[in-house]
Amino acid sequence: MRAHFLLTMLTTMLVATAANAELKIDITKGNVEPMPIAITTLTGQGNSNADGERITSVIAADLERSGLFRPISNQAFIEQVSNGDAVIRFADWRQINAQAVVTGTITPLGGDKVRVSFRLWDALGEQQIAGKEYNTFGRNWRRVSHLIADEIYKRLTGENGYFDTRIVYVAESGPAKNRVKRLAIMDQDGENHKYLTDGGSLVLTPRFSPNTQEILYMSYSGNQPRVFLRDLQTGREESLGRFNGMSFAPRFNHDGSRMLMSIASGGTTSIYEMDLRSRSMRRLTNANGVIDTSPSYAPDGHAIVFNSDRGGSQQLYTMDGSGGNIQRISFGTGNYSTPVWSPRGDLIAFTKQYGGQFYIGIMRADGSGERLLTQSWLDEGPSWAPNGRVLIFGREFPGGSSGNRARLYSVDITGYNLREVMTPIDASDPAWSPLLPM
Amino acid sequence: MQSVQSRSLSYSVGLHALLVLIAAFGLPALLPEKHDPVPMVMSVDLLPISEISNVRPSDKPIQEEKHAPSVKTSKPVEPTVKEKPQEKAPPEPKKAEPKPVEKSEPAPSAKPKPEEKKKEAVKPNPKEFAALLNKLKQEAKPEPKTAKDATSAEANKTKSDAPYDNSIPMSMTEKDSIRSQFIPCWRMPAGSKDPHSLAARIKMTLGPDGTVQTAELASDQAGRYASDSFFRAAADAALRAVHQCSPLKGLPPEKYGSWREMELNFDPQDLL
Repeated sequence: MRAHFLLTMLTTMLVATAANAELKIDITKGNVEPMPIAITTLTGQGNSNADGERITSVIAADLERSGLFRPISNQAFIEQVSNGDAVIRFADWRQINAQAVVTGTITPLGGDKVRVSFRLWDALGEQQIAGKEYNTFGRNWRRVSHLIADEIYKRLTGENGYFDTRIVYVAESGPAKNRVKRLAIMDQDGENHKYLTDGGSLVLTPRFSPNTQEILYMSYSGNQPRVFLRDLQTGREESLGRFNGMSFAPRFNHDGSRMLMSIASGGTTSIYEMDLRSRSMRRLTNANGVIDTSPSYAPDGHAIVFNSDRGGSQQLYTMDGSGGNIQRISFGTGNYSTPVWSPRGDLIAFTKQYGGQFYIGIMRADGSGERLLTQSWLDEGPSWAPNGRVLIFGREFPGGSSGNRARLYSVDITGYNLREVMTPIDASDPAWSPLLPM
Repeated sequence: MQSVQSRSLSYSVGLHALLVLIAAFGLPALLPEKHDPVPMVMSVDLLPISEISNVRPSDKPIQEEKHAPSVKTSKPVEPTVKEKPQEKAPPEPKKAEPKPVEKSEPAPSAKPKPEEKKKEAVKPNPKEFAALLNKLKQEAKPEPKTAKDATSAEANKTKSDAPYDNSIPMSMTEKDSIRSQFIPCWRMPAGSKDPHSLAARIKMTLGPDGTVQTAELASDQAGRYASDSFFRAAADAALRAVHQCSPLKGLPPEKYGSWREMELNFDPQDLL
């Protein structure tokens, strides 16, 4: 009986596949051009702080800067959207080659409050594919714009966005001999810029905590350079201890409960881990006469990448969270430094120096698949955007008698879309924040 | 004397022999270093070669020929036909109507151009007939061919009898033509964490003119579409590519049965 049943099933399946003999074609080549997207001005009256036009322009600028989208000029629009909640005329948008269309509304809710909503339409599939509304204060219009850009980015690429983020960096001014270095912070698009320190003492390597509310950095204040923790809300700064030697290159773990840093003492630089609640220290590497530095946790905290000259030249190594199982992962020619584990976990970004040039590169966590993304006279110190797709780094230009020029740049991990990140003055050592908490 | 004779004889024999050799093998064969880099490896694909040759190349010129004049003629005809370009609006046709008349009056004395316009002026008279002709030219491109050669006319007759033979396989060239059409339409998920895992299969049905009638994600991938945002974005990009590339061009009409249903596997395997 059962055999009979199976036989019937088998025959049915065979017949089914025969009837389904449609043409099958593998498409393996496409393009990586930016997607044309139409972002219409939000309809409705905002208030004195927030209006549709300003929000729309921030969304468009965010998406354009990612290099994955090409906002279409509104002069090309055929349909003039008068109600941001209504279904659009898809054919009109296809006519101007828009693949996706953004519409939305802004409604005043009394006082400074507004409701901002958006809808994302697939012009080819003829349907709405995302939509959200935000009730907020008008003065938060910039943040809302970034949040909307993040939603659009996520729906169309599958990846989390990175527009609602901030960048902390070292702002530099003055002559080379007497350089003033201050901590500065700004939105990822350069807005809301402000200085965190007055420049009284030299600061280096600021790093964000996972909750984006604190930063770790190294400061020369008080004679001995050491690591400090700063609360961004209160501006309170605290030293993480005086050690027998200089402490530097700090970095948080994924939940902000621990941090790594290097301590240099008597010709040996070793990596230490500190529990930030108990302030207890643990030494992770211990090799005499060797410089181990620039430690960075894997996103799950179970592994650490760092650079070391223990093999003769500066190379990248990984070890497990307790300092065991040290393995070299970089084998190319040249020196490797400042490794940073991607928040996505798949890649490690680094600075490479070779043949008188500097490069920002990436490799898989096991050291395979090395790719160099940028090359210049001096590129260094990459930091990941929270989605692990974009890197920000410092680039210096030889300036002759007037001193070198230092700027921030970002690049996509595909190696495309290299752009300057605008800063009011010279800048170095950037760190990209995680997504800001809602 | 003898020695001179025998020497000249031997010269003669030798030179004749050389001449014969040259005649037999040709000069290049005697030149020592003139060998071609012959030992090439020929790659041979064993393909199902269809009996009917690929009609596509001859299709294109016909389309182009027909297109160019049809653009010129279509402007005056439009007003009567109420064809596609709705946006171009009433004002244009109004202007267009008087123009042919004005021009056709001084026309006879002028160049070949007026002749065309005369034709146009004639067409509006049997209005709907001309309009229909025009539509037919645009919609069913193979039909002009029927007028030209008898063989394809037969093919067309069978074609118009609809899905005629499922078994005619698509040739490699035809498949390649489809592939190449998707290059500008498909935006690949560049920079994704694991692009190789994002292959999306789209099942679609096509009309006889290559227009995509239905397109959807393969049913076994629907679960992943709902749960995996990366895959959802990749699948949407594949669907957009299918819609953007509609109608597919250069599909052999006589093989409609074999390309009416297609499954495209959008696989970003070449991506870094």
